[in-house]
Amino acid sequence: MSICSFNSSAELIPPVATDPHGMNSALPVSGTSLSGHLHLRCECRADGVPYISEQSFRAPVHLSKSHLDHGHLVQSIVNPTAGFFDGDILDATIHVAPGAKLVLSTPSASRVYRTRSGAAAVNSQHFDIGEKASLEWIPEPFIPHAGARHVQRTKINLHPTGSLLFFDWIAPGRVAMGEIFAYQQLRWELDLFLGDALIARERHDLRPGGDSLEALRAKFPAAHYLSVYVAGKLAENWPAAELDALSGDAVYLGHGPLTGGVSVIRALCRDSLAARKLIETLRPLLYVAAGMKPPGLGRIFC
Amino acid sequence: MLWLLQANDTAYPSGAYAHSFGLEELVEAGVITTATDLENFLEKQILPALLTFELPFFARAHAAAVAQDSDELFALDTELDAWRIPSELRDASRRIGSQRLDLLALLDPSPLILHQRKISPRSHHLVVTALELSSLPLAQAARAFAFQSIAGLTAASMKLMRIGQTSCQQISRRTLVRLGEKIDAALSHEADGWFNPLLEIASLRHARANHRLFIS
Repeated sequence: MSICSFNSSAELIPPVATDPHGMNSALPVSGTSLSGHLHLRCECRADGVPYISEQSFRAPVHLSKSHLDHGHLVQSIVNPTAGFFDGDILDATIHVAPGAKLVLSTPSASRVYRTRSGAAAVNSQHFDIGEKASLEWIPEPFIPHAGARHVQRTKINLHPTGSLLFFDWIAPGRVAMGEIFAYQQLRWELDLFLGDALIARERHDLRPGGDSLEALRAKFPAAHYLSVYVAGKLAENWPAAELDALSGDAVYLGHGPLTGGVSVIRALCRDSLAARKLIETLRPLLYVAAGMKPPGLGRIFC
Repeated sequence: MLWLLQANDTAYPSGAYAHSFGLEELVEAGVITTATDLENFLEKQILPALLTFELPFFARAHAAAVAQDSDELFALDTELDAWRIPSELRDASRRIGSQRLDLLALLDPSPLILHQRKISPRSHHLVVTALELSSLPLAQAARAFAFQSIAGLTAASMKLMRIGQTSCQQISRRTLVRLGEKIDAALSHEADGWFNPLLEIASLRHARANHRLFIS
């Protein structure tokens, strides 16, 4: 097995050198914030087994050990600082090389804390899925604390023969603490390219003080929002009737096609339990419909 | 001005009367059931989307039409597909646009309009309206486009809810006043998205409904 791996985690004050991710171009930590990156490349061996061929990361993220399940490489991304603070920057680039199958998850919720300086935490992520490659991105919920500011920019380049299962789960806040839509601002951007064609573009600027959450709160006052993009083999045998049946008193769900065989699912859920139950049902439903077994995530659910 | 009145007349055969743009499912789901709900929906969900995305995007299309820039018009028309996530909303926009474009090609067969029809016969409503009204100043053309959007929803509401014509006209009037206060500023903004998962889900669900009155 040939694994070429380099790991530069948690080097807060790096030595002088040149690094393609800017690791050494400036101090990655200021008095109150971190500037981190994640670079990951998953390739496929000659015998079809996927492996991590390149990895480079720095706080606020860390990689745990990966494992194989049902032909997929399952990799967890850990946030050792237990959340993102104002001014934190994470620049992530994920490449899934032709034929490789990668599942990325997080073992716990992603949190963004109250901004002290007024600055936002910024997460830029770029996913590149090659020919006949497959990527599943299934993080735990994103929980913005009261007073938090966060920007998430996502760009997905999907080869027309590639497969994708991409989840986003946004919680209203720390509901048990009485923080429901108490954050300052969430900026959510997503571009999904199928080959060279832009097929989905999202730009959401959520500010609880205005009308931007009106639609989110209209059905359930503390709604959890779930978005799923599905492409390739996972969308070929679309379980439309089964998806329709997932709507109910606690879930308002819709689904349908984009262009190029890509599908989208959107759902509003009454609370976190409803959202989790939906994902626990939805994920195996999509895999089984595609004639596959869902890879185990190595965490409590799914 | 006379052309503006003709193109916005209810007798102008755009086919918009057959669409509710997700409103039918919202009524069915019990989210919008009263005149107050409707006005609230228009004020807090539709107007912000118009001011944040549709009208700034319309301004770009209008500028391209004025500049006779067919490449830019085609690029904007293609980009709109990516913004309109529910297929039913994409399709509704292209259905109405294509009907308007066919008629426009008969009424005003300019080279730019004929070229647009040739390269994109199912152009989006927004792009076609920008072409249609390119001889008018942007401020007037944008008001006409926004009026079409509001009027389409209020007209659909009368078939879906227990709401009378007078009440509907009062809601339209107040909504248009609110729009008029902000529209000029919106035209100089960059187009940005507006978060409306409720309307997206409603539209996705409407496309799969067993019984429905409207196409969208």
